[in-house]
Amino acid sequence: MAGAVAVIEGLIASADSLIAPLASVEMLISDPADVGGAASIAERLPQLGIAYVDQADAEHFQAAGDAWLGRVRTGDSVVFYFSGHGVVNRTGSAIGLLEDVKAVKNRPWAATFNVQPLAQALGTIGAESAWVFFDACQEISGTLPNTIWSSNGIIIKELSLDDLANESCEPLAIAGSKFGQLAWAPDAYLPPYFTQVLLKGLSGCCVEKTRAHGWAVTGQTLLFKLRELSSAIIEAVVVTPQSLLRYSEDKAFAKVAAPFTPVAVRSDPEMALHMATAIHIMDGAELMYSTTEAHFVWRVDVPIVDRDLKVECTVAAGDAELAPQTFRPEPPSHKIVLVHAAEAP
Amino acid sequence: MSKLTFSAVVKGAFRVNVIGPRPNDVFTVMLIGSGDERELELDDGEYFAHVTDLSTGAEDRFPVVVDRNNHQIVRVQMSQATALSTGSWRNALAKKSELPSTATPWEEEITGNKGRYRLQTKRLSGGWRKFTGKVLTNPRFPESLKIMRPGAWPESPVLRLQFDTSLGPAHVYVPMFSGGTQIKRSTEGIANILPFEQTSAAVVGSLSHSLRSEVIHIIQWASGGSTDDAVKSLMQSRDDPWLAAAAGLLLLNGGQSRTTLSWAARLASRNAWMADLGIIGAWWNAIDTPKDEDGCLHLIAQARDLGNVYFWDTFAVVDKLLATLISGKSSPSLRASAGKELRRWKALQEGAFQVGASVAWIKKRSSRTLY
Repeated sequence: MAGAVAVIEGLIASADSLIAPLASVEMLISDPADVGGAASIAERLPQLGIAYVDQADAEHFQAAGDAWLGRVRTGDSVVFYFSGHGVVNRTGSAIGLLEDVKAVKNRPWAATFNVQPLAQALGTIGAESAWVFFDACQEISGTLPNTIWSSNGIIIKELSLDDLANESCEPLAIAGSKFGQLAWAPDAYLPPYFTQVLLKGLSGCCVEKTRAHGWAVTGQTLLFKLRELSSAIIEAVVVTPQSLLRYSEDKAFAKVAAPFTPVAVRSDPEMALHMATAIHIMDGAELMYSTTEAHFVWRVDVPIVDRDLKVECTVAAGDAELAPQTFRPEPPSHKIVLVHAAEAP
Repeated sequence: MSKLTFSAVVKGAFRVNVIGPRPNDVFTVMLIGSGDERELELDDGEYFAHVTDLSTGAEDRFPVVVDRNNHQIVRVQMSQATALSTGSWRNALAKKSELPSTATPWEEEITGNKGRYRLQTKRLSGGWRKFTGKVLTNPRFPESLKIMRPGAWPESPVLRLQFDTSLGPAHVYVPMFSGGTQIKRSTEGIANILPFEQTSAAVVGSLSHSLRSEVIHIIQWASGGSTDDAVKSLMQSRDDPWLAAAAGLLLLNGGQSRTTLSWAARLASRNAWMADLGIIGAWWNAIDTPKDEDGCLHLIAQARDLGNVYFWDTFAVVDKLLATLISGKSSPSLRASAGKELRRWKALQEGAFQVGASVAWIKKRSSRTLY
């Protein structure tokens, strides 16, 4: 639930900069009552005029899928986001599990969907670009019974061999976890970690220069930069995004007026930065950012500029000085480790 | 506005991105073939040029200054492209005792029957025998090996290279490209397998490094004609089914399959030992006669049964075809058969990894079936 709401908030916030204007949103939430029901979600997303929220079960997934695809017109951009439980089936395909999975004894896996055919279908509906983000585990479960194979799960569009020659785009499909691995989420209804990284990337650091749109978030940057970004902004948890389809088209998702790069400053030994009295980022002689708080890791978003910046610390009298470091702020992120001046190369 | 010209001085396909200080200052040109020139008109100022060799993915980045008083011509010449074809290549020896003291790592490891790298061709009657074509090494390029196919290659076209890695023994099916095959070695085994001839190398390398919009230009240049006849002309001019398959996959990835792949499908029936051509044939069958789902599934199964997979992209095509058959309007029995076939292809992919555009398999010491 936290992931879906955060993604929709992100899309609405960046509606003006999306390459295709934001036209409509379908949202399903698992157990909305647990988080205060529709009223609470409506409060967070006042622009949508939400009166009720459908459950993320098979019936509503199918209905929302039909309504969604029914609205798609040639040249549209379509985005599919899923945050929940996932597994891989016997052929290694990523499978999303809906709220009522195993609820029906004779069709236990009917409330699932296979991401690959879904993504493939989005390439055949006339869309200009299609984006699929799957924030769920790709866990291999030895206990999954054979019956998962007998079900195709929910199919939002039946594919035909005819469609293969009529693809309008090659969708981008990224999973938040690698094949066979788990995806992680923090407690307290915060978005899962991959979603946090994705939103950060979309907000302006997974960018490249493009002829048509200037600085823009593109499929290529999301595909290749999200992993690097995650290691700079998330502590302790390793986020390992993986492409689910081959992607070779160069499509843009959103324009970015003010691209930035998240910078994570550490020290070796770790305590040295914590003991510093101040940390600064300097643009020549001009102070850009500074902090006087104690940090083991200081994170700050720095605008992308075409010149070197310098990270430097001041330390208390008697403490060993940390050597300053220069860096060129380029996307998607920077990790800087300061060392004592005596040990600096 | 001032002129900036890029000129390719070697044979190959290159993408040049010129990036300037403003967000929209992104200019892209493609250089295809030796002597190709492309001109840009830019505001005066400092730019960065990013050149990508589509054969190898090698990148080069350097500053360029645009000045109205000085029309600059940037000559694009990447890495080993010309040097490889002019270097001095010598036969790798058969016996370890004959190795000179100046032997390259390749020479040491490919020599003898028990070296780290072993080349074998498949007998018609089954089983494997020592490769009878030429194996060449070059002290100037100690990481590269050149394979020249024997005259009678059509009688035993399947060449296998076995090698040891830290994770266990591995193997790759080596295309015997016309003009020779270059195998580049790495500390962990194999880094890349490409045609020795630069035009063919651009086609094969583009499977890994080109964008969809670049495919048509590369294929037209390589075949010397239109994309419609590209596979046919590549095959007929060079007698090279591996290059034809690579071109077919490239066209398929580039969304050009409707008019271009009929000849590749015909090739598939005569080269059943190559699964890649069989899969291109299945794709062609799918778009030519979309109602014939049984036929499509049969061709996919036949390709796996009779052939070996050479190119990594073939797996993605199989995934697309079978996902379509499984989740489409097919009959339940066909969907079930397609499901079984997908499981067989996934089993085939177990331990597979990408080596450039090729695919290699590693046999894990403690292999375990997951399902």
